[in-house]
Amino acid sequence: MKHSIKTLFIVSFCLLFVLAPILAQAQFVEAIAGTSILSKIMQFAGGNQDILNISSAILGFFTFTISGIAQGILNVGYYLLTWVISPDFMGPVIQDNPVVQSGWETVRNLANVALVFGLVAVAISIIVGFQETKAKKALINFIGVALLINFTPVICGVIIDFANKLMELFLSSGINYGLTKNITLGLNSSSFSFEKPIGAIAYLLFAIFASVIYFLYAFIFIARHIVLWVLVIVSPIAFASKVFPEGKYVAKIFPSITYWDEWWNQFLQWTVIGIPASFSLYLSEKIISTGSLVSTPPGDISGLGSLFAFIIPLAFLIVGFFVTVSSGGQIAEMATGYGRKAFGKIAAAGTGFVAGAYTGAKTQAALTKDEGLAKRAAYTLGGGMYGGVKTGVKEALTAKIDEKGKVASTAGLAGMVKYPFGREETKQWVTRRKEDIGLEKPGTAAGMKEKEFEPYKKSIEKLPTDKIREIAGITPTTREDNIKKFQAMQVLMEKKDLNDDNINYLTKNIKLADGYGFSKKEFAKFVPERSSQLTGKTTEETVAALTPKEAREKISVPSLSSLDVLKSLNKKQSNNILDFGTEKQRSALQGWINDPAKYQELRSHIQNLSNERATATPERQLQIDRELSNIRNTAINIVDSM
Amino acid sequence: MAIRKKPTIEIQKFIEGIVLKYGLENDFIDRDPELKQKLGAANDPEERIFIKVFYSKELRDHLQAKRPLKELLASALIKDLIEKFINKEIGIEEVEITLTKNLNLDAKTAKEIGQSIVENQQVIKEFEEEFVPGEDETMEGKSPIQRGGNPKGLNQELL
Repeated sequence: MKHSIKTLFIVSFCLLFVLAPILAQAQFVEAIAGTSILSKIMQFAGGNQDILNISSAILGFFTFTISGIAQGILNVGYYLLTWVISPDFMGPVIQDNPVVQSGWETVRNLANVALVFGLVAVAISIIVGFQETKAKKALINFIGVALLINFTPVICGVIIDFANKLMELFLSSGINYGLTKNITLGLNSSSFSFEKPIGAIAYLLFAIFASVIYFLYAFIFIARHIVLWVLVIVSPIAFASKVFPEGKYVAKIFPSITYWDEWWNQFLQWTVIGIPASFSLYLSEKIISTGSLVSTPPGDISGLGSLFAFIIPLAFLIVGFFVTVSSGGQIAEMATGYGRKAFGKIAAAGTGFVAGAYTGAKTQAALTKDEGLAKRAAYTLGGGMYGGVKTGVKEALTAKIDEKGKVASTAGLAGMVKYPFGREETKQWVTRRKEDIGLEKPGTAAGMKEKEFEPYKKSIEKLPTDKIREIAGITPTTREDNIKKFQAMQVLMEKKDLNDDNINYLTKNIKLADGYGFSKKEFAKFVPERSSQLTGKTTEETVAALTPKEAREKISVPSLSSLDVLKSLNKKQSNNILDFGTEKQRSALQGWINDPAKYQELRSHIQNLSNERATATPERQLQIDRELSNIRNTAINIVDSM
Repeated sequence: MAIRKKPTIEIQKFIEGIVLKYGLENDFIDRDPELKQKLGAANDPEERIFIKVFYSKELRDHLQAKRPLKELLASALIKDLIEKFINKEIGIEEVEITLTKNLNLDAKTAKEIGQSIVENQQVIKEFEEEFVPGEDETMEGKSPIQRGGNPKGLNQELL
């Protein structure tokens, strides 16, 4: 929650900082100079200035503000990208670039030192006759590379220039302002109303999508410049590494991009990454300048035709972006991650807004059903806006888009759109929103979820353990995969067959697992020593809540070797495990006496507790006494069982 | 069908009292200076039991060699006898005979100990009570013990 507020605060601050000048220049100035702000608001409300009512004022204010912000971000994105792709953005990559020149000279000298050491090694090898033929061959390579490293800027420069020329070909006419302009015009002219909400929401979404894609492209072009600088600077070392034999020590001396294979791979990727990006921008520019590519649909959906004017170029840009970054190395992967996150969050916010508005409006309409028409409309509108904004923001902030498989990798663009609108999940999610505002009983969504996961669990339970393990180990790419994976984990937990990898994975992804029907509470009982990470309860609290029989049935064998669990087990619990538990459970507990290392660990702990007790607060003393009593009783029980 | 009753912690404290009174584990304690020192500062019977089972190296070696505890500790032997007694597997005579034989006690001392066992309220309670598994206990992992005929009461046993 704190994190969400912090994020919201930072985002708001950044928006204010970035948008203030734009807003000042655009709507506000216009409003002051020509029409009043009120009339502007009323225009956005789609109403008449003469007919002032609460609902249209609220609506007008929201639409005016959101529209202004969206226009601001879109323009910033557009101008940033235009600036970044201009030839004089960062100057030349190599020629006359002082950073690259001085960096390269230093690295070249280091590379020469490395070659000298290599030559000495080759000479010794020839003198003593150790692998003489190999050494003589290496000598020729050494001489060749010693010459070549002085020309790496030329070699790199030729390749980069070739790619740059191709990019220039595509980007010669710059980025078409048409898309930005049309969306801005649309945002200015489109008023929001519950009768016809599609137009305004669509323009808003287009503005956000377009600005995100502009920012991402800009990021790719900026990153390309910087990475190529670095790669040219380290090129002498990478060339020098080519003559050293492959091996783990060589890999340590030349880590990452300083080793030839990695350097060459990265260099080619980052050189050509701009070409598909430029081509995508070029194609979208062509589509925008061509005008409408689709015919006007008949009847009530005639308005949809104009939306395609935005959908097609945006789709080209988005697809082009993912094609571009698919071959772009680590930084491009980072960009892909941001892209996925951004699109996922937008989709979550959009769906959140729609569902929130629906449920909010429905509630208010229900509450005021006996009131007059005007009052009902006003409350419905207010409830809708409130619910929409609240849920939209909440969903955007809490949407989990981190998992690769969750959004884009499901199937590119289709998956990206499909995921947030997954039918079953959407139903559950709308139900949760209804629960929030009291239209559904609490727990309805949880019941729906359980019902959805039950058949998966039942079919998994029938499988042999090996097969279940296999399912638990899959890398999920769809919602169904996630359900199967976590239901398999659930079955393994109930069979006490979760291995360390499963346990670590689940601890790390417990929120996700919980969303797919894996019981977080049961898992905390399975590994009580991790319960603070899972449920926020201490190990002692989790263990204390178990009956002796539950302690035996729920706590995993490895957890019985955890000191935190041992000191939390009471006499009856340890007795039950030792008397009725499995051989493995008994052995795990007996290890505290049998295994010298475990015994020492326990002994030191007892000593520490005794020392601490002397100076502890009365409250802590009670806790220490409880721990010591548990340890004593369990130790006595263990010895009895041996 | 029934599962075995086990001596309660109260009975174990009572056993510790007997051991202390008759010095039955003096040799065992004297052999380990650390154990002797720790036990010297402990008065609570429960704490004494813990110290013996946890800090004695000899005991841990003994357990690691998979040898029964009753071979080493008089308290473990008495506990074992009481467990058999409350489960009506042996009579009081056998308790006394075993004590005489295994702890090298004279008949008088063995009889005294036997007497104190059968007169102990906790032992009587356990002896007379039928074992009913609580909601947290189960039968699994334990072989049911078939008891033949009508078990004798403690008074009959003493006659």
